[in-house]
Amino acid sequence: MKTIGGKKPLSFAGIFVLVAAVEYLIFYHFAPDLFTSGLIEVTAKMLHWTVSIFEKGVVLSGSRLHFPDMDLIIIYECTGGFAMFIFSACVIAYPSTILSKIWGHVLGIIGVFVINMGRLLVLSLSALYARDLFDFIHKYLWQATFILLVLAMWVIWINIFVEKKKSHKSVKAKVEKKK
Amino acid sequence: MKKLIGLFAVIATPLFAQLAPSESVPVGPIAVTLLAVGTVGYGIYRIGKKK
Repeated sequence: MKTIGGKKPLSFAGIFVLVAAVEYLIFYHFAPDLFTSGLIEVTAKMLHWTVSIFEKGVVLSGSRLHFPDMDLIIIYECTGGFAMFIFSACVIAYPSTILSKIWGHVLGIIGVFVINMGRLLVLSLSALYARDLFDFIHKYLWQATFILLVLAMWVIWINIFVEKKKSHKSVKAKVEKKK
Repeated sequence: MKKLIGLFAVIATPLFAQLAPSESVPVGPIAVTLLAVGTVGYGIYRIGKKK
């Protein structure tokens, strides 16, 4: 299968910046309200459903979750959309087959969603049980953890979905040549 | 290779800091920038390693 993407470091970086900018414009800047509000609503509802397992008293109204001591407002930045733009742009820009890119997007969408829900759940639990730690967890701990987890996904994608497939193919080709 | 990664970081950091909407404390944009620099930096490293 044909490899698509920036085969040189500079072309990879260039394609990345271009794709990330286009995705930002399409899925954020010029995105219809239905898309952005829908994403926020889904995130808020999923979070409310998950938090309700631990605490029944949390009330959801629109994109706002009412906790006993504070409110959490879900905005677009809370949905993990920006991390997904970056991951997606990297997958598109990296030299790989279309199939690997599709797998990258499946892994990216599911992975970023799961990581983000984990982040929001931990934040909600801290809003419930450790209010004094909320700012630290929100602004520092989970930002760093989120970066590391998405970076890990990126490394896994390159090593398993791109390089491993290539090495399988080259081994097959060598075996066929010997025959 | 190191120069290229450094150049990308210099160009991309202000760009992504502008793209990501800021909050009262701009931790979000910084995180988005670090993520972009990290992922692209690793990508550049891997492409460079193959040659």
